[in-house]
Amino acid sequence: MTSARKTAEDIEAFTEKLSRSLSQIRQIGDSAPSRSPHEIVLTGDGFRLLRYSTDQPHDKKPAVLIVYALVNRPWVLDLEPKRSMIARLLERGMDVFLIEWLDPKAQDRNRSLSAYITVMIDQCVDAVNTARRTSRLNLLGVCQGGTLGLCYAALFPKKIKNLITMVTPVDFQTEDNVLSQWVREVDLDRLVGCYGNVPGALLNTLFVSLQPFRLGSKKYIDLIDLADNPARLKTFARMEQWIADSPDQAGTAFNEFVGNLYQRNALIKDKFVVDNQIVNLSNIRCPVLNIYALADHIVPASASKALANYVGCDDYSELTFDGGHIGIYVSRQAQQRIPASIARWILARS
Amino acid sequence: MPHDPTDQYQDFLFELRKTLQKMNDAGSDMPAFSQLPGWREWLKADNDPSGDITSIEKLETLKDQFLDDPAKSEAASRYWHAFQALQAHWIDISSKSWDTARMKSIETSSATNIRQFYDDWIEAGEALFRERAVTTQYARQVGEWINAQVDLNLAFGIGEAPVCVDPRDLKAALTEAEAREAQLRSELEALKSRQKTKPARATSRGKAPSKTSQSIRTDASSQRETTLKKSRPKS
Repeated sequence: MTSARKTAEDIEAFTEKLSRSLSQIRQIGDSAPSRSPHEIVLTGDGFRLLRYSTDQPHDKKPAVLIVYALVNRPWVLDLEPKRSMIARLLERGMDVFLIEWLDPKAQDRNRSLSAYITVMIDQCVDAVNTARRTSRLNLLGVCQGGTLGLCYAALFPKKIKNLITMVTPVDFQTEDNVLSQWVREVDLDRLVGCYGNVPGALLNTLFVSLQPFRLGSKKYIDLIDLADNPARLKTFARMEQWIADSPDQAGTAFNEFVGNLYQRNALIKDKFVVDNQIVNLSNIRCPVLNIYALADHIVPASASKALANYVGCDDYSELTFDGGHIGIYVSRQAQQRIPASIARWILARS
Repeated sequence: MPHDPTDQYQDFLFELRKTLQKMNDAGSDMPAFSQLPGWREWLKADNDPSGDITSIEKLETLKDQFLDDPAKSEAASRYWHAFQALQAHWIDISSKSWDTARMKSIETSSATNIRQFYDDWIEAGEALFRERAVTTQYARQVGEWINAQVDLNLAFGIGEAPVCVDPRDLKAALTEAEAREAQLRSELEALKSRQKTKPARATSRGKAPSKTSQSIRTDASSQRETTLKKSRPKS
């Protein structure tokens, strides 16, 4: 047992170090992401298509179109030079495109998932193919964007050369899917009727409440490890800004996504209808690389792994990451492994 | 008597969490009615379990404020009951996780510093929460909390409740659609039979596209990746 005096000294040292970290983080100022250079190649109703620049000509490089989730901002994939999946893909010789979803306005509350999948993604795919004079491309769907990408690939199989899904829910009702259980009995018609577009802050609070101790308290206490390390404090501030900056969700699309998928698990039952067509995952015959995180608390590995049972391709691979839903985007380990594996997998099939 | 540091740690951490709560509240941009059960509520519950936010008196006061409007009174009551049900879980989990961390500290002498004690407490709390969060009861209570919030908004004139369609109107619309479909079918049949009576024209078509087989290449580099597993999906 330690003495009372030693305990008091321990607490005092702890307080002093934490205060120093908190004081330093207040002085950081701008914590916007430092995004890689890019150009806007297409602007449509509800989206922008970005193309990332490199010093070398694009033509010979395989094109990768990233479809990110609607519920968060995509710049977690390009947070800062050392934590940028996009930068790593560029370094590995990819021609990287990204769909940036624009915030829905009040009048967009009736925008459906069909609009996102069969209009917006399709326009972007066509734009990439036109820019590169090709007819097929590699699509990388991330999180909810992976589900949208799967639907697109099932509905437009001729336009996709290779499909990569990353932390993507497919079976929405596996036993360990906490989020799915929580929203099972939510009255979505009333929720969307009340809010119109569903506030991003509301969803954000729900995500944080999945790990209340860790996300609500521990990460701030862990700041003491970052005292006197301005670079890591800046990364922390950028992550905090990303986490808090959740866009609102178009009411109808939200209702369709949560109702059909989280509440009725329609995708794996061949009952998910987009633009009057049933999304049949067995239509996906192109090579598929399914990447998931073993400690993912938002999209459990079980929800992603299920994809193997439903796609119709012979060339199906999995890549597992020993970490969580956010770590797979920004952790040092992920930066070293994930983009390199994706690039290698694509190049072997180009 | 040997000194047990966990009392001091616990007191300090309570105070620290209060400070964090103030910081978080200051940074919150959430509208008052749209907060879901999140960590701010956890902190409040943990710091002040006997506070007036959970008290029946407060609920009754709230109800009393809208006595002249039963819809508002009922919605307010439902909201606070839903909140209270969740808060009871949070207080229980917080309390048990403190006990677990304390027991671990005493049994293993693991908590030689406050950071270790804090990490033990977080670990215990997350483990207990994971067990609780997947229970049907907790999930239903989260759903009820969200639904109650929506009702509260609607009762206070925020947003529009979806229009309930009369089943008789639905049935009438269905009958009308079926009649229209039957008419279209008969018109289609008539068109087909008219087509059949026309003389057939010789047409020349291009060569039918041949069915191409796709070769499947194995990826040697991916097989070297220890965690990159290649498997065929089940048919």
